[in-house]
Amino acid sequence: MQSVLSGRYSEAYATRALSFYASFARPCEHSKARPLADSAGPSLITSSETIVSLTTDDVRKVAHLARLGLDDAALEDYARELSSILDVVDHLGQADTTDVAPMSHPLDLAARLRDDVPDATIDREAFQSVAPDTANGVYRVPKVIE
Amino acid sequence: MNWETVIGLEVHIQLATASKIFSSAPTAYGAAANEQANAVDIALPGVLPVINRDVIAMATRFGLAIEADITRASVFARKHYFYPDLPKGYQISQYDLPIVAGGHLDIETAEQGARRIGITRAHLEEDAGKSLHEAFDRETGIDLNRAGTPLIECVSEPEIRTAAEAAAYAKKLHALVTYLGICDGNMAEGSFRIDANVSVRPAGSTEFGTRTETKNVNSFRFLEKAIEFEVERQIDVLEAGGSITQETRLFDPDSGETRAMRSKEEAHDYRYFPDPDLLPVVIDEAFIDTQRGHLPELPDAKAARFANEYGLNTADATALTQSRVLADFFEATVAAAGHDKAALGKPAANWINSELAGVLNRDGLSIADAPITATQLGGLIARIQDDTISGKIAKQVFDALVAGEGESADAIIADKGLKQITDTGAIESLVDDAIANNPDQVAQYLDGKTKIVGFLVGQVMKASQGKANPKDVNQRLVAKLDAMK
Amino acid sequence: MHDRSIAELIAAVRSGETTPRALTDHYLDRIERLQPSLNALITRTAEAAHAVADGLDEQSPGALAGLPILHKDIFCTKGVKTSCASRMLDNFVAPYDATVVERLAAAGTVMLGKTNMDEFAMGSSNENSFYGPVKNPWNLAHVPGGSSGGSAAAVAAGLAPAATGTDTGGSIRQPAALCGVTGIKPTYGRVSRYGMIAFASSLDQGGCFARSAADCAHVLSAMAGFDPRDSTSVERDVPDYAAALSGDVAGLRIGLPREYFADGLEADSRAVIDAAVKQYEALGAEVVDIDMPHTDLAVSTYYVIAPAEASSNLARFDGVRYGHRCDAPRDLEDLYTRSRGEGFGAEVQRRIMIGAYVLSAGYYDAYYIKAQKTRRLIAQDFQRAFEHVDLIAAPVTQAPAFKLGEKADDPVSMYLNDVYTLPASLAGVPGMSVPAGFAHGLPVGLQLLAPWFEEGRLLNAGHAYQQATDWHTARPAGFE
Repeated sequence: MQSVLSGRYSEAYATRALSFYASFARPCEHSKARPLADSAGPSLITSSETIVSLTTDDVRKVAHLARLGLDDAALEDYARELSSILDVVDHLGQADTTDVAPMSHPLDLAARLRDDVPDATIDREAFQSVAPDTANGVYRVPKVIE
Repeated sequence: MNWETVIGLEVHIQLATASKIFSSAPTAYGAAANEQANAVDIALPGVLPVINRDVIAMATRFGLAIEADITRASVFARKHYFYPDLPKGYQISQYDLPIVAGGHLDIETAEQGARRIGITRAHLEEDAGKSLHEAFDRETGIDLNRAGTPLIECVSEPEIRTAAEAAAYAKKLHALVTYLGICDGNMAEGSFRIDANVSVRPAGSTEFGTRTETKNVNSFRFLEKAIEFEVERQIDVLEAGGSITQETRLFDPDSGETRAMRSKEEAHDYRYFPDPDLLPVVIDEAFIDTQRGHLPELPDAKAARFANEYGLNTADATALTQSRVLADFFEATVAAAGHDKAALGKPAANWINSELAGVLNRDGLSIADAPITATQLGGLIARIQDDTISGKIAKQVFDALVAGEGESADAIIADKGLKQITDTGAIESLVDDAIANNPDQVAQYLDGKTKIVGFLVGQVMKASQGKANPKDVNQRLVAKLDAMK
Repeated sequence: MHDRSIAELIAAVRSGETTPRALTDHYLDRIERLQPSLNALITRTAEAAHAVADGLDEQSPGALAGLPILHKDIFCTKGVKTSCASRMLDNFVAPYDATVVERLAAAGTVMLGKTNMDEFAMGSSNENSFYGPVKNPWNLAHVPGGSSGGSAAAVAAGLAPAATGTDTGGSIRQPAALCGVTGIKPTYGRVSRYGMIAFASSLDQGGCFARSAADCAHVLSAMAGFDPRDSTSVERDVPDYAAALSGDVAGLRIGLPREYFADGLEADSRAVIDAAVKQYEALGAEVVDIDMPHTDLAVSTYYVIAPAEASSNLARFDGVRYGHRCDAPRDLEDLYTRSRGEGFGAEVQRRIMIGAYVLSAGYYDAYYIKAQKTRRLIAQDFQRAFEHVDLIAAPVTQAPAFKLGEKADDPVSMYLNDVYTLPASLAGVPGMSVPAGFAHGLPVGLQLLAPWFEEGRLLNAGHAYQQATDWHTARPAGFE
């Protein structure tokens, strides 16, 4: 196995990815606005008090991005919970990752490629037996206007 | 105000693999709905993608053909959006590390001359399924047969300046991918789909204007029309003091116009990240060398060779190398006609570019479906070259071959008795008859109007039913008339 | 019968002492009697089990011929409901078998049913199930751990000799520890993920639960191995783990990472782990302290990467091709938002939103790229550690099983509970939990971690310990 220390493929990815994303990323208001929790020292991190909260409006936006229909009543709970999760996550800001290549995958291996051999055994009936709405072999959804 | 047009083309090139990019389902066109969508294509819970080697090979050959960099470790990323013909809720595509980076195509138009158009990148991705909006009254139908079909998306630099250049670029790209054998080029079936990004700006400005993206352009002619319409529309809007909305527009071939898509455009946040189900595609020198070895002779190289070997002018050489099938037809025609490429090239080019092109045009056929084979056409040209028949008779033989009246030019010539008269006595007597029967013209000739001999040649040819050799007749007439002076 | 080892059960079938059908009925009967108090199963497949068992006999090929087994309800089983403990898939009957299911069937196992779990494997207590929480057989008021809580509880209660599980951040090791059974998470890439409903693709790994390391060795040998349908499956031979068990750990160097024995570890649990380590010393192993300095980054790293991948993997559940669809959708948007809003439980929704957030424009660098870098730091800790030691020993959890509902309102405290299991998941190394004693009357697990692809070393170390101790043979009262 390729050593995880080397990050052979990831290094190229890192350089390109970082410069690419930097080209359009807006400043990360969320992370930069918040002071990071003190170093946990020898002990593992503990749940810190919520420093900054996502607003219900933030939650509404991200719920829309993920197409999750949430009750307005749930938004506040989610805003509080997601904020406290992000507080934990913000602990990352403490780590010195200078010259560390991102690790996309536990195996620094290359893709294994498949031969171009078609297999026509496709049981549409079985696949569609679990579908909520089909007709004439097609899946149906409410009318989409382009 | 003078306006400058800025055009960039994004072309989706469907790769001619037997199976899909990440699944083993067949890619054949025209199956019953969802009969070619397997568990991976319909994104059942738990399924996983596995990359098709031929897709990587084809993309590599494409990159080599446009003289681009082949990325040694390219990465598939997930592009997220919700749409019913996108079963996973994300498309597996490539983002910051596409397999092909850079490259160019050389094009030529009458107005702009020869220009090199840069290619920004070409990445691999999977196609989506099809939404059938007309299938039901209140529902949209979803057919996922096309989902997972391999595509190269080739993105040009915004360096194209006219609709004609856009068409030239698209044609060049189309010729290239069909030459490479990586795409069937069938535009009606969506194998080669063009999106045009168009904006205008005051001439001399260095900033880009707001662009629109026109989709659904499935022929080169429509591409020109769509761009011409869009440029005019944008100029009208701007000159009326309005501004251009960045939007996706659809081209309607019936009206020749573009219209904004009705669906709400929202700012997309695709949330790209490297697909954790797939590892980086690592391409080594050996793989690249192998693919280089599989590259056929490409259009530009072939055109240059045609000019050199067959003595063709640039226009003929370019026309004949537009498609690999056409170029192959030409070479097979010459080979069937004889050994002297330099002598046979020009007549073969003429026959293909005029007579055969006329027939194909008339019947709406492509060269692949030509009603006459290269062997037949070559055989016909051979008989012209060896003076067995005249050019005029040759046209008759060509029509007979097209009509399927004979297996070969020789068979038709024999059947219809079209062989040139080689009996000197018979020609002599026809010449004598022409001189005797046309005293006025003979008098004009003797008066110094020597061009009139053409009329007399015509009379002899008519009398011989075209079977005399006009050059020979001409010589005999001139000799006899000069002797009468 | 249910106190016997897998080797003994297989031998009993081979010798004709019992039949696959009799074994199947024995365990089906226990399920019938004991399942109601545990809620460890979502689906029972008695009829299919009978059909399979009746087709097997002492002559049947397959290393595990006649062995009853339970599958976590995250593995697709053809013709059998595969719910992932979610309302989203309550109506989903998988049209195909996962590779793991296929392999274990080919080895001659008899599937008795599908086990309960946290919805889409998100959770550490099994309280996030559409089908209700699983109870810990050692104390029904306590959680069994999660996400593979049903599998762990079922094996602990003797409802099956073995069960499959999946581990994304500890989902095998943690419930194994809390239920007092042996559970192994192999190296990432060892067991095919095809047909295992994805939570976080770069972390998910299938494994198994049984009563001992030797039992796990039998099951793992049958389920592991290269699968061309999974691009992340590794082409590497699978040893016969059971045959390789020597029980000898003399000279083995075992590292104790200081960071795993810091403030958070509850005192009685620590005493259990210390005693287990002493046992290894008594068996001839050499124990040394080591440093894994980036351990404290594991929770934050994991809670970026896992939700990011989850938000993407769960996008396919859109009410179009399978799964829950809301009633009478007005339009496409309504179809998506209501189907997904209704189909997913709160914890799944939280993680989907966190994932969408950290991947969204402007946040990607600060969260996702950063977490990929800290992930490498954590993996490097293991790489360096294994240059000095053969195995790592550590606690699995900070404390034994907590009470049902105790942490239900505080997702973050639940997350922090996974500190000891997350690093190995992020690094992709194999890990195992072996029962090592009790604290407050509840089981405590010892976590053993080995270098990539050294599952054999793990199993052998577990086996050596179980040869010398009998913690693994203890049965909870009422489930003898």
